[in-house]
Amino acid sequence: MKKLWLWMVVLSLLLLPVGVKAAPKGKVVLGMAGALTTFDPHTFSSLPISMHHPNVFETLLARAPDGSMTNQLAESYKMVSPKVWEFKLRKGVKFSNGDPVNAAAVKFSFERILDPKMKSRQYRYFKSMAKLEVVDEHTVRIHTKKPDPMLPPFLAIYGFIVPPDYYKKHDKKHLSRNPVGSGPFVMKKWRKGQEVVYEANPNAWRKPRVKTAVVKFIPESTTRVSALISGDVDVIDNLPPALSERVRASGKTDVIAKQSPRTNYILMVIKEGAPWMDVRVRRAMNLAINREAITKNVMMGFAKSVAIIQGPASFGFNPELKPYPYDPAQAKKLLAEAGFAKGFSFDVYIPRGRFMMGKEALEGIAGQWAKVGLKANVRVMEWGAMKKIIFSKYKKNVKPFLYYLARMNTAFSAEHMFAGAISSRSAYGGFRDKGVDAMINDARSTLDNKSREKKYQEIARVLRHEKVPIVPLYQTFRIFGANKKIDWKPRADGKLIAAEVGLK
Amino acid sequence: MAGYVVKRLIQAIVLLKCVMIIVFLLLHMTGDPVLVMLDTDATHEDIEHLRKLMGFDQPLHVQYGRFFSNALQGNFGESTEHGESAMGLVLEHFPATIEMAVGAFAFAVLIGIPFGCLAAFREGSTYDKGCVGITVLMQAVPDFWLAIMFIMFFSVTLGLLPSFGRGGWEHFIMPAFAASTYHLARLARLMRSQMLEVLRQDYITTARAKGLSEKIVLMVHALKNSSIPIVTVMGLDLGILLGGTVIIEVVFAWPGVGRLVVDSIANRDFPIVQAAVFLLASGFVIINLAVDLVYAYLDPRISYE
Repeated sequence: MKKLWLWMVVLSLLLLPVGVKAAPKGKVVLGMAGALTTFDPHTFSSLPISMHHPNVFETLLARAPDGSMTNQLAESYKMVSPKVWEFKLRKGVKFSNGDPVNAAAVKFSFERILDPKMKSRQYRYFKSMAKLEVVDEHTVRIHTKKPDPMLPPFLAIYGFIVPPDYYKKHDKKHLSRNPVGSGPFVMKKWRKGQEVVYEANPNAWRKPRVKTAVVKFIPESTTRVSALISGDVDVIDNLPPALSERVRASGKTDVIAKQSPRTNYILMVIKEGAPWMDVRVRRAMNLAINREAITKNVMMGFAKSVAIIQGPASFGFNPELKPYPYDPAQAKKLLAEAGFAKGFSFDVYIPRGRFMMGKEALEGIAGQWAKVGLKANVRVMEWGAMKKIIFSKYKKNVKPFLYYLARMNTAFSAEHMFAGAISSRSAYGGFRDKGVDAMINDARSTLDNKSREKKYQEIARVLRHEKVPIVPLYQTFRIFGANKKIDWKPRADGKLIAAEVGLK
Repeated sequence: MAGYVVKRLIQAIVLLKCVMIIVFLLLHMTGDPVLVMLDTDATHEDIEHLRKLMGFDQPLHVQYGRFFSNALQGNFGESTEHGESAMGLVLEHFPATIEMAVGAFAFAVLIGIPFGCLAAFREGSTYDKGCVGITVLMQAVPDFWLAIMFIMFFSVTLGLLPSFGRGGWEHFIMPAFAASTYHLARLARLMRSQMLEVLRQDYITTARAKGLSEKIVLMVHALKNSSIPIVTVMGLDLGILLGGTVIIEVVFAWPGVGRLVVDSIANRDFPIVQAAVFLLASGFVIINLAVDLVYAYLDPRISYE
């Protein structure tokens, strides 16, 4: 009898760490720059929103902090035929209101995004879906109109799964303020323009690192830094390079930075009448830029040069390609060969206050171009007004121009970058080449991952060495400031997700 | 008087209608809202798809007709970024704006006017010269710089006041004072010069000759008569503070209408901008009306008939 009792104690001790996970404790306060407009996970798409929604909602797939694809609500997935993806769901997961996470919830959530009444801006990532099929409680099939190998990367960003009954019952306004998901946190309180308070979700299968996380919205960077140093907040995002020294010098706070998939580049309107119709001119414009000087002096080390438009974390990255070297003599020679020995002048547009140190970097680049005789007039524009100008680019009476853009590639895919800046179907690119279009289309419809990756690497090589369609610059870092008591590693996708922030 | 008020109210309604037409046209001239709504990975096909869903593909007069008939019923539409009633959002942010505007206005009036009066009473003294110097400085220093310096000194160095946000009085004191400095200095300078002019008038000499105490001469005869331009400027100040503390709101992360509107302009969220402009323009009209009525009280010679 005595022995049995002892056995029971031993057994219960063994079971303890498995059965009862310690409830999270403590509180962190984050100061974030971007505004949060809605908690309806199916309507909008923006980086600030995509840093909040993963606290409350979950997707089928996700990105691990290092950028690799992982399963979240999906237990496994496979392509059963070229046009059918099958997802097996994790069992026993519940939403914070107690409803089960099942195949019907997945079907409802994706159909909600596709519903024209929702006017969803995520529609473009889901438009290849033709039909959703509930196979059983934990199996769902996505039928696509065409073979779509790009579906998984987007299902790691969008397509948050919500409980159907709740989302059918309430109106849009209620849903935008009262989210229900299966994420590590529940949203406790939200005062628009001020703060969001998250509390640990008792039903969650993934626990947050602390019990309570508060996000304060602070648009002005000097105020964010002051709030961090004075101890009013524990972590801030969007730290400008120029203020990083203040954060370091305070003694209580650290700078945390990581290369993000935000590639900065200068696009050209390549059309009749542009000096850069000639590939030698485009090459010269690239060789005349000293990228190292810009990343070191303007970006203060918080940027890394790229060869074309992808960074090492992205699918299809070609490690053999190097950034264009700084060679002004060669640039001058190429310009002379192309008949522009005296150079030429042109406008280059950049949006105001949108890209980290963008205007300063572009002014530096303009100075470097001036040394080989290229006179660039830097025009700083309001974003919406600049988009209007970009859209007029192919009109007859519009003089060819250049424009500086940056793109956050959270899908970590070559396809996303090529389709958005290089392909002629891109609304924002300035390069049209049938051969390159064919290569991009061919790669996109290649279902085998290995050979698709090879094809993207080959496209990158052709672009870098032969076509020179753009002026690639660098990937900027996402820079954060954190109190020394904070335990947090920055993510490869640059997102600051409250549920991942812990205390030492 | 009643006839005058009715006439002014009708004028105000016509004015507001004109304001709404101008805002509608200006917003549509600033560019295509659909372009701003989608990120730069959107294709032409994606853009056209959303344009149709949002109704921006229809002719401008159709869009205006729809907007205006809804606005008449008090419905300014749904915010394109927040997905809920635009006027509801503006009203939600309005208390914070009123709090800051009234606070800054109170600082300006309660500090600016006494300082200006005292400077005038002691014309040429060290106090007067100091007052003039400080007010020139206060008008010249940009408010965002002052705000940042306040935060560095009171929050970071001394740790006395919270660095940002809205809450109790301790949150309110720095932003309200920073927003008030320009108005405070302008009121003080105007008060001083008005007072000096009035003090040179014959009726002041007469009042003194009658043997009235200096206190009554200054407070009743001089102050009341020098107030008319001051009241005008005060009305303008309050109007400007209600609509234009955007920079202070951004620096202190103050959740007011100014910040909401600036974000909404950047996002081309037309319904919010229209609702906010309507509300702020109405406020301005009402303040102006009130100022005109105060004139009549201060100087009964001003006749409206």
